[in-house]
Amino acid sequence: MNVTYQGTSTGVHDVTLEVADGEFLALIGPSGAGKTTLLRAIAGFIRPQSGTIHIGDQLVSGPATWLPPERRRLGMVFQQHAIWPHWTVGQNVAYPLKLQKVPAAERQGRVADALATVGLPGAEERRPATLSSGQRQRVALARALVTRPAALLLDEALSSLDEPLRHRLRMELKELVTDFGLTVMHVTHDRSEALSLADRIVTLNYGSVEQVGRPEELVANPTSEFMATFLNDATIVAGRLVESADGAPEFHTDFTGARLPVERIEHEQSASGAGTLAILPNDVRVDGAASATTSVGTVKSVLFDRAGYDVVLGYCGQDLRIEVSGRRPLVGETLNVSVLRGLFFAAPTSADSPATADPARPRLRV
Amino acid sequence: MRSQVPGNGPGIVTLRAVVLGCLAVTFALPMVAVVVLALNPGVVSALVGRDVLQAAINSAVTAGVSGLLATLIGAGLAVLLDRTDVRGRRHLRLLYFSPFLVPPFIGAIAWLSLLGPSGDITQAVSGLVGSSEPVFSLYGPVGITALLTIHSYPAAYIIISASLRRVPTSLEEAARLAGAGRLRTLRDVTLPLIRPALIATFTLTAVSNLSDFGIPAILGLPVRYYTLSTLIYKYLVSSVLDNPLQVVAAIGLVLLLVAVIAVLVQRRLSRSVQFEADGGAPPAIELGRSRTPVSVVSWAVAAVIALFPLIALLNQSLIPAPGVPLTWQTMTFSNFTDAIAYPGALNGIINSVVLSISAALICGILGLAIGSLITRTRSRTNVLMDLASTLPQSIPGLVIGVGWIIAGIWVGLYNTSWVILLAYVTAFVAFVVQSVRAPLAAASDSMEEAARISGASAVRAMIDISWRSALPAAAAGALLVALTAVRELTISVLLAAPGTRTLGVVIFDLQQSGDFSAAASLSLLVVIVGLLGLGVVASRGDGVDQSAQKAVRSYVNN
Amino acid sequence: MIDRRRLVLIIVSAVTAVSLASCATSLPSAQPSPATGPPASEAPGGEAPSGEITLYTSEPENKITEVIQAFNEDYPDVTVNLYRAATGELTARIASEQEAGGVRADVLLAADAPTFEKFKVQNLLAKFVPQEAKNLLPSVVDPQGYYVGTRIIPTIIAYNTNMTVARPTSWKDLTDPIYRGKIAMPNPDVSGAAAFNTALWLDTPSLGEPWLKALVANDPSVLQSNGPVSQAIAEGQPPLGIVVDYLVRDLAAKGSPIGTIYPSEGVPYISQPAAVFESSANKPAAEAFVSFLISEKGQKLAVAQNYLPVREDVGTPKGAVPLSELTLLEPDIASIAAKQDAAVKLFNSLLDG
Repeated sequence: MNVTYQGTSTGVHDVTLEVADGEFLALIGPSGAGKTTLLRAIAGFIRPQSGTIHIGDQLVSGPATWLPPERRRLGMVFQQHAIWPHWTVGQNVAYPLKLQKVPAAERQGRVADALATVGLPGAEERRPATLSSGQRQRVALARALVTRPAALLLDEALSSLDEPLRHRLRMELKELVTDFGLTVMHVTHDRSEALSLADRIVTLNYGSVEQVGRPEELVANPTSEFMATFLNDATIVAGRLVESADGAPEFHTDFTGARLPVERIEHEQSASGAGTLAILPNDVRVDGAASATTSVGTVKSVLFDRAGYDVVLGYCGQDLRIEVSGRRPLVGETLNVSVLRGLFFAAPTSADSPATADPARPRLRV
Repeated sequence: MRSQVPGNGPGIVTLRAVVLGCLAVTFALPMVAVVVLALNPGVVSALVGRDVLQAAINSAVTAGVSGLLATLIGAGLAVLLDRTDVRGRRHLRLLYFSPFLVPPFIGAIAWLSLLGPSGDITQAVSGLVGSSEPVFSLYGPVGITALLTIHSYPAAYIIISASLRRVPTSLEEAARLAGAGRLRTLRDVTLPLIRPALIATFTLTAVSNLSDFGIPAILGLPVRYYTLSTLIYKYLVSSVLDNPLQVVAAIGLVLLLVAVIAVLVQRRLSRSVQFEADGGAPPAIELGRSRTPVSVVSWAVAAVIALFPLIALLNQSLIPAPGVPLTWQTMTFSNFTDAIAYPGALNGIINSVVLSISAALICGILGLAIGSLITRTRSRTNVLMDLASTLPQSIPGLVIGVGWIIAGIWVGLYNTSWVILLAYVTAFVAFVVQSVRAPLAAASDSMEEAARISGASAVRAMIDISWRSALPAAAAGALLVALTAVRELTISVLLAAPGTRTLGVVIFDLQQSGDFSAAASLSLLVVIVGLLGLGVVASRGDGVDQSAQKAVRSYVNN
Repeated sequence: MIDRRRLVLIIVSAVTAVSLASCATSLPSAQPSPATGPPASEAPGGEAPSGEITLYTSEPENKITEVIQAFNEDYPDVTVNLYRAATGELTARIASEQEAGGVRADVLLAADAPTFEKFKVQNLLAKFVPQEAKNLLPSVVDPQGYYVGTRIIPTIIAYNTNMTVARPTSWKDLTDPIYRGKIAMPNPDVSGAAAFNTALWLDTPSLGEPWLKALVANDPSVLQSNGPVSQAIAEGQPPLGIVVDYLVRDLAAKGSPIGTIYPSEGVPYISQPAAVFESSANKPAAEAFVSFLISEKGQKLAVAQNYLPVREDVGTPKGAVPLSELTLLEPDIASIAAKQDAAVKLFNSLLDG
């Protein structure tokens, strides 16, 4: 699918996706990656230049077809809740039903149900101005769900909320989605939110898909240098992959020219030569004794984290980011470091190298 | 062309076509009329004739000097009322603002009865110096300039005060830390920063004073001192010229060009300096020992400016006949009863009320449609709609009036109320557009998108969401239209016909035919009703101060 | 879509209200009083005039209002739409209406005969001689039968009774330097009476152009029309002026310190003629209105309104010199009509020079 959105440098290029019934799909990526563009194209706010979009069996966007948003039977929750301030909560939620010409009596019942579902029973008469931001987002959710849409689109729906509330709403949302068997597309820039909510994650970068997979897959096996850093905070070392004397691959950094001690290097079959090595924070051990595969690293900074400590080590001339549990390392302390795994990504050849951003053309390609 | 913004459904396209059609009638038609009639070889000789040149000089002098004075007074007031600890600032601000609420021609009528050759103050002063002749008279260029200044400085104050408030406090604080005192800071940092605003204020007030009709008519015509606006009037109501409409259109075209240049200059200037306000008013400049004397003088001047015209109108209304001193014995209310009893006056009141309400309704709806199309959709025609609806704010009312005389004849509506109504819509739709623009632009796109997703078409979403939420702003703008139109003179004096005279024209005619007391009584009623109207607006939430400021801002902002 | 239709409805209804209101000048028609029904002679065929007429007049608003009310006592079915303006403005309006598709008035009641002469030449007026024309002063009736005078309005010298300098007694006196800057007079561009007077003064051998030059040299305040002049004199600034007499009597009656002087050379007067426009769509009603103005009832009302009447059987206003005792400057209307424009031009050039 091709999408151009003129006037901004956000575009989506060649994306093929299928979302199963009842699936919770998260779209993540750095800002400008095209995830919101993609969502808005699905919603009908942007018309793709080419390609097709189906909702269920219905073609909603194609070379000769284009359905406006109001005819796509979708529900959507926006980042800034978009609760209409001039109407009461009840009027807000009833509006989609009104447009579907649902009789007033039935409307009332369905609005009440929707509000109860999102945990705001009896809030019909309240004015939006009197609601907290969390309550407003619940109203927005009720409004999106009240027509039982084919799919629910969430555009950074939880991002404007403060942390504890956001976490609670996340749980409630997951519960709701599971209970109702909803199909959801959720755009977020928050990695942990995507990981915790989604059945499947689509990562976008520069307008095209980097990797699609279950959260576990993405965390364990990033398929590109971008994925390794974006999702896993990997340390990237530039260098060369060379065959060692015993036939196993070994990695020489550009910085020192020396071999980096890594226990196991995963790489594509054909890959060799220049490239980068990504070292995930979880793939480094520091508690062992000195051995043939260990080297000495010096603690440069320590940040407390829920899961342990987020430590930066000076290691073989690199700043290596690792995760440590247990005792808090001291700055300046030396540790025995063993890198269990490194992921090698060959440098792109000129044939498929990313085009640099051309300011004259808003569309970015990868 | 592929639609890049699918929001432009067939409904929006239709709405846009309807709005463009309306603007073609309200804006393009009268402007084209002026241009077509002005571009006539026969008018050149009249245009460079002595009368027109003299009137042009008179206009330039009175408008230029009054614009300059208004800007200086406005700046002085902005510093005094916003930056010093003068006593009773809030109420003082209201008093100084009061001339804005009085229609200029009524201000002229009022001040004339104080400072005219037989005015009460003139007589008193003449008596003091032992002269049987009046020692001064409000008639002529000095009086016109003074009155124009009085009626334009409130707007100048509002603009300058707003730009003063936008100067980041940190810039001033930095100057203080560098060792400058409060006054020194004001001189070295603050005033230079608002210089573009001062120049823009001067341009705006000068152009608006250039087009004023009431003041130069009431203070200039009796001594045969003509400005361009009163010369146009003279040409139209007396048979001095063989081709009055063509000459008048040519003068109108010149005024139009002056206005457009002024708008361009002003836009350029106001764009040059943009600050982000960093909140928090700077601490007041302490006047110290001079606080009491400064306060007393400020209050005295304010009282004179605010109250004297009202007292003068009251005085003029209560005397039974000219030349009779006002005492408890001579006092009479017959002028009020007579004034109201004139069928002409009653007719004028009804016409003005109906016209202003109709104009308010049409401007309200049209302005809302224009505002939402400009802010909520993308189209090449947006700039066109923006200009066509807001430019008339800077075009002299006289030009709009002349345009509609010609256009009225073309379409056969001349001499009817319709032509006045159309001219009001041309002149005042900008109030509503300016009023709704900010709230519409501030509302996030997702408000309408949420409605689209809920099943509303593009037009339905615009009406249900954007229009409804901008309705209070549109209503405020429409109210401003009504309040302005109900006491309008400049346009209606050119377009009024038998049976279609407006209240302003009736008062002006009474004054012209020498019935000063009847004119004063009706004027007083207009002023009182105007103040009450503003009181109603004010009681709906924010204070008089704020709503007045809002009113002026939408009045003068481009 | 529904909302737009509603919008159009609102506009239409609002604007209908405007056009309705524009007819609101029409006065409430009074029931005919039992004593005075419409004179049978005015309604040939027994059918009383009805419908609407539009009146253009330079009469003061309050006075013409009373006239229309009295007219409606006799003719309750006629609605009179009123447009009041100075004579000069009326002429300009009539000229512009001719260009924009025809005069919209049925009756003209304004200052001076020469103005009517001009319209007569342009074939704008209908021929109409009211039955009672024979009862009028012969000098106010157009011999060709296109208009009749309705009031004798002399222009006199008015003074403020608090004035300290000696009172003038003649037009000549006004050129005396002691009155320098103390004289107000109406603008002949605007006031029909003033334009007429200017031509007449120039035509009077004892005054003529030298006198007019001397008068202008005495620096008079040229105010818009007679109204402001009388007002200014009453207020004492300036204390002396040239103005129509009835305004002075009006103000004096209300208590203003103002009095009249009848200059010894004689007074120019205008007859406030009335005529029916040829283009009138309701000539019976228009003719009834003109006839009413010169009827006994109409003239008695004129006297009550401080005007000198055009017939001798209705008395004289309180405090006015009766017509028979006045020295009038009797002009040849046609010759004045021919000279009026040139006279006004000369006056303006003297003033500007």
